[in-house]
Amino acid sequence: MANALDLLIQTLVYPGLIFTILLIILTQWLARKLSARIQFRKGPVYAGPAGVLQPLADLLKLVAKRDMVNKYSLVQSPLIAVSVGIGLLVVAQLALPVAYSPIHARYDAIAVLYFLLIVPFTIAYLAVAHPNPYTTIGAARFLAILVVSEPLFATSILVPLIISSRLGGEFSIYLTSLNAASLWSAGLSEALAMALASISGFIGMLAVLMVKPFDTAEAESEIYWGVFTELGGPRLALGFFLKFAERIVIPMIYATLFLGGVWPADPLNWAASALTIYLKTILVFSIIVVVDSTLPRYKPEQAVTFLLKYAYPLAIASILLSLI
Amino acid sequence: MDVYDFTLIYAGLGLLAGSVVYLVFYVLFQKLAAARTPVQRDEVSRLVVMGGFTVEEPSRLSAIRILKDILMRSLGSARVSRLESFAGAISSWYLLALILLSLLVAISFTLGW
Repeated sequence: MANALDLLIQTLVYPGLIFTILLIILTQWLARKLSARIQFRKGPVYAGPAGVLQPLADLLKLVAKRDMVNKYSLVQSPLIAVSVGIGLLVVAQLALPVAYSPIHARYDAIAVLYFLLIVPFTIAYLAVAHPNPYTTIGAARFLAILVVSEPLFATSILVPLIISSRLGGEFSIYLTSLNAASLWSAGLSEALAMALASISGFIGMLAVLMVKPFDTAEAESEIYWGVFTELGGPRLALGFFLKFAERIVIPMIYATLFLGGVWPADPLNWAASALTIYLKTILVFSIIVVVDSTLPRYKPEQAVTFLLKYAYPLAIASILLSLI
Repeated sequence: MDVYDFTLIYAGLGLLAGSVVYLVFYVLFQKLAAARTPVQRDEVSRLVVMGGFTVEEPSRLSAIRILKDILMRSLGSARVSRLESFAGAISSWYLLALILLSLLVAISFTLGW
């Protein structure tokens, strides 16, 4: 188990804050290049080799601006809420095999899920704390999607944890990641449950991450920028920081539980395990970017109806199958 | 480590990382970089503008009312489809797929797969 110094290093350096910032730079550069290719553009080219430092340049530009809010905004509390949200996301990686001395406990997945499901609500709070008609509409749309998508994502995530608990997983994300590959071959109902949960979990993940077709909360063509309309400078930078960190950590948990965990790496070799998890995360992230760049956007009520009508039956069926 | 220790450690480290983010990316950058930017304010900076017109008080929307409206509309369409005839509903591929899925779960339970 990790000692205090290890915990501090893991929180602030690797795989915590500093490494997460590096990952955000890499993944956002990848996202911009991929979506640019799909739209027959070049994407970023000026900052750094092949434009790889463009996300960092954007971050520095925003945080170096003078903080300004409108007359009716809250000043400090939204910044503190978003910062804590970023902290909770960053620390989630300590419970995954990317950490060199991971923290884990029996039923830790419940605590991690609980903390992670709080995070999107800090974006909603950031939005409603800066009143504007478009921001309010965006926040309401975001909350409508979250109310439906978060139970869906949590239910789907429970399936590999339930199956793994029979193989010594103890409802711990880290312990489940060590035998995640064997969940697919544990039996017919287990394989079916994993297949259905991976589909419903992916749909739930898209909705939680505000990816098309569920990005009604920031529909540029209808409500300017929705939840981000009234934000600028450091507030926008922190909002984006949270959103981009979420797009790394949630796919990382998805890859850990549904794509075989550390397999084919040796679980005792943490460097190989971490590399495997990062490669799988980037694969999931790339699929999300392609989906985001190619699909059209639902209307808010269509998005909620889609989740209730198609994703929930899959999630419920997978939970029932996993209990056999 | 039990789950209570885990939760405490997770929450503590999360607050630590969040504090570092707030202090570095907001407080520090505002003091070192943003404070050097000259303040640009004129007589229209404080005016509240909506739709191109200055107003005394902007119109306010209720996020909860919009949220309820979205949920009502999404559930409302499902209610309308339930009122359709059973024959019409059973012919839809969605209901057939749902029945297939339920059968799959039921058979798995019965045969103990």
